[in-house]
Amino acid sequence: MNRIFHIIAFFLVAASIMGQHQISGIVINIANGERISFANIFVLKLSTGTACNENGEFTIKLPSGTHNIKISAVGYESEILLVNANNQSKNIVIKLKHETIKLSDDVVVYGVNKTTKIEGWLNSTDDIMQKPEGVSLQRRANFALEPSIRGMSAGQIGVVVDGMKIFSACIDRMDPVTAYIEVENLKKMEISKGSFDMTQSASVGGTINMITKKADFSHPLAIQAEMGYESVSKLKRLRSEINISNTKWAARGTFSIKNSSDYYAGKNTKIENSGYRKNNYTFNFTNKFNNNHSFEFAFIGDNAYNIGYPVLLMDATKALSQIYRLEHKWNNPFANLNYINSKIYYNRIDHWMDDYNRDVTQRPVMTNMYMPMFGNTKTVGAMVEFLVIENRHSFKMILDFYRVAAFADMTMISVFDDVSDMYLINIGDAVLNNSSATLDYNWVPTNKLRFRSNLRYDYSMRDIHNEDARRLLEGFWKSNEIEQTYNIFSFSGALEYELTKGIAFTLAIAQSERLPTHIENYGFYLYNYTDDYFYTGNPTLKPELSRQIEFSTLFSSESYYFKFNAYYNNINNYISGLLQSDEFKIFTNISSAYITGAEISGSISLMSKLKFSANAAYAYGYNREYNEPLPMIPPLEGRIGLQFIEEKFRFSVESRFASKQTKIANTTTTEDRTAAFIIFNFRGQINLWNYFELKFGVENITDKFYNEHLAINNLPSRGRNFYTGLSFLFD
Amino acid sequence: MKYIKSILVTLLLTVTLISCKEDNPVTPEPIDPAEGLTKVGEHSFSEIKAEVYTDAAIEVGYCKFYVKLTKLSDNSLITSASVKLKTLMDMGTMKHSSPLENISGTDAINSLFPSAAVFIMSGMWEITIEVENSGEFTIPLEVAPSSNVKKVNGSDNKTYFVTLINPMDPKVGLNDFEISIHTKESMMLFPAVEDVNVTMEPSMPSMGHGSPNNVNPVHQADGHYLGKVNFTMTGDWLIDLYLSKTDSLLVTSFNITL
Repeated sequence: MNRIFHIIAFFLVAASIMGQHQISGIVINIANGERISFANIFVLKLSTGTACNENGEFTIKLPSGTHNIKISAVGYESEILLVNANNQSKNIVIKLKHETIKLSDDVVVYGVNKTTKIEGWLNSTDDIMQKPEGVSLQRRANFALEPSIRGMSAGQIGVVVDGMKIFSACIDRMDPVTAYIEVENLKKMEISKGSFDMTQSASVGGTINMITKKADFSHPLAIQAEMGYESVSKLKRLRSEINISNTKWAARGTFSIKNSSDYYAGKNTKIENSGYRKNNYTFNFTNKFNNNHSFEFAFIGDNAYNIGYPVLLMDATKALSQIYRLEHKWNNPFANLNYINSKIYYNRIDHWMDDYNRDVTQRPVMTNMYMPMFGNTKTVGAMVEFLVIENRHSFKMILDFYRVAAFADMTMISVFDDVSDMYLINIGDAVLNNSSATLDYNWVPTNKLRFRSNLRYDYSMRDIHNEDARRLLEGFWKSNEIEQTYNIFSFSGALEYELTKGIAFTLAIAQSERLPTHIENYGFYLYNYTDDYFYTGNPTLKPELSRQIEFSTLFSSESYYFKFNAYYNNINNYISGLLQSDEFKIFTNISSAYITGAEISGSISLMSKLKFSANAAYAYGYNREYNEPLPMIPPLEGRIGLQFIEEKFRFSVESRFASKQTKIANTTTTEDRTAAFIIFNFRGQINLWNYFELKFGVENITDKFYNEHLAINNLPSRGRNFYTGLSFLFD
Repeated sequence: MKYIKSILVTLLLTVTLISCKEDNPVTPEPIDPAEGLTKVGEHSFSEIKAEVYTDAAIEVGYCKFYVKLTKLSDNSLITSASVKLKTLMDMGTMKHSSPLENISGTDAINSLFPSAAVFIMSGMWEITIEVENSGEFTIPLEVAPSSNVKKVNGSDNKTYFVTLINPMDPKVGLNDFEISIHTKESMMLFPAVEDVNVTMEPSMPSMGHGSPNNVNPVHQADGHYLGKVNFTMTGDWLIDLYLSKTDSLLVTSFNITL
């Protein structure tokens, strides 16, 4: 937060400077080499500065000696450069990384990347997701955990890949979107908590935007490979990656496979039927036509097989996805218009599951019945993003359209020959057409104040196209009003104030709406294994309406930071299950619910190479209509870690803990209380020669048997896990 | 050049099509009112010809008959007449009829004289068509077995016949549900029962659940009861029916497989 206020501090220009050297340079975008207009150059300690011209050029006069110069530009991460005025080359080239300006409480977590040291040694996308406070994971298997932000998940949060909308094909949420991005393809994960940032989705809980790695122009030839093993599930994995480029184009391809057997929970408890196989391949090609135009084609393929779901009724036999994207970047198309980014995309997800490997004669629900299920979503979309930076204002406009078609069905095959097969359409070609326009406005009125506002409008038309499914819903609701149109409008505002250097406060408010999902509108007899009810969608659901406020404060210096934030999120028309009869529930709007909580995080460098960091989050959700807590709200939980970082090796000891959760829902769903736990992890990484890196670690050192509150049906978490990985990098 | 060619071709085709149309003016064919029905028999009286049709397979249950009358002199359709249906099953030791419905009065409906019978058992039946002022004729009919008629003995010591009429082609979702209820007064008299309170409960025995939004059948006319049944998936459904009169309660059920 600190650095943002430096952007404008240069306006306090010193009156006179004696004995000066003139330094000049240019500021360019590290990603594509293009010049950045109007970047700010600020000399720390002297409180003086200048700004680049339209072509990214600047000159500045400096007194003799060395100076820290901070270079910042709206939309980029700031850089601090050590400059010796006496013998510095006269032309400095400063490269800035692009950054989305994030609201007060946005978290950016980086994926595997040699240059970002912090998360680079984690083994999976799930591990990375669980790092920041306020993000928890719903565990259904030893595979593809589903993110939850501050106790909100599924339709309440947006999970996108490079801004692309992707929809789970499994009606039982076995295939969260995060499953398709392997850690080697994850450049960073932008997590915005709360609905203050509306640029990627209309949500009430937040957004996770997984930014994938792109082909890199800085490596003419780079080859990377990694082999890994994890003892807890006898997981064997292999990752490989190649990047080739010249000045005009760059291409990157990756391939990875994973093969996991049944895993062990703590106390050497084998969890039967929990293995899986998975492969993932990606291809990315970028072509620069000239300085201002580039085209990018990206493909992600992800295939998983025989995924065991030990605490559910059935297993996923196949989960296939293909994700295509074509993107055009046009820099400086017109005066004052910084860029136009346009993309079109298509993705298709297919998901099969069945219970042929289960003893159906012994189970309490759906006894004597096999029920193979299939689900499929196809999404096509287009997004256009414009950025205008005008003096102390920036406007970003995003136009977003997508169309998703979803289908799911289920056959019930009795073990008795004289019973006819039964067939049920769970989602009968639901088609949703969504259009939205979002305006993201930033304003820096004074050098201590910063204001950001988002406005978003969404228009959504949806209907069922399968005639049988239409008859089912019409029969269920005694209404032929299956078609539905929504208009929703959301806005937010945030004000940041820097009291003194290193101390900043932020206040943000938002009113946002989120649309029902296709499952909430049109699902039919969806079996929910958390409460053993069959859910039916409600075509006349109202959008959830959230009004939220968040306060945060940040204290920071070069050696420490401490951040605290507290929020309150009131949700009207909260979408929830409601008991209808025997074993059936419908989706309905609950008049009012709220989620409130607080988060702290901080770190301090104890010595130059030793860093202590900690964070914790607490959330409490309450359903006002039924006077009970909201379900699936994580208890107080956090992490404490100590890291020792040398150039050639680093080690960390960390712990993750959660208090017990006794605030559980009884009416809207059936939840269990969950006990408190603490686990410890050790991680290490050593650079062996220049080309090899060895990583190793022990997770859950004490082999604690525990389950997270967000584990479905109390599925225990993994026990002690020894892991190792050897990677090879040539570039 | 290409353009001119294609324009010429288009013109030529248009002219041909137009002239074809003019050569073959569409004259409306006379519509046979019995089109799509199956003929089960016919008889020529002195002045008229009577043909008997059905609209479905002849099996135990509700069976509709359509009589078409034509003047022999000019082949024109007769739309005003009195046509009556009678049924008989000769079992050797005894003979009996079945519930009957003579739907049309003296005016034909859509140029046909419809009537219906509920065949209460399978086997060889005779149906007799009586055309007033012309005479009657008999057609033998083989009636196939089905489970669409339930014979129930009431606590009032009467025998009732509950017949499933709809849905014969069930679909998922809401379907019209229609039954008829008749009782047996004598071997030859099976009058409609019009004062029954019907409660219906569909379920899937193998799944152990029913379905929402079913509408209990309510009496319309001539012993016909109309309601709605909701099938939420395909498979074997069991429709339990609870029929109550002031002095008796009957329980029966139908199996419907989608």
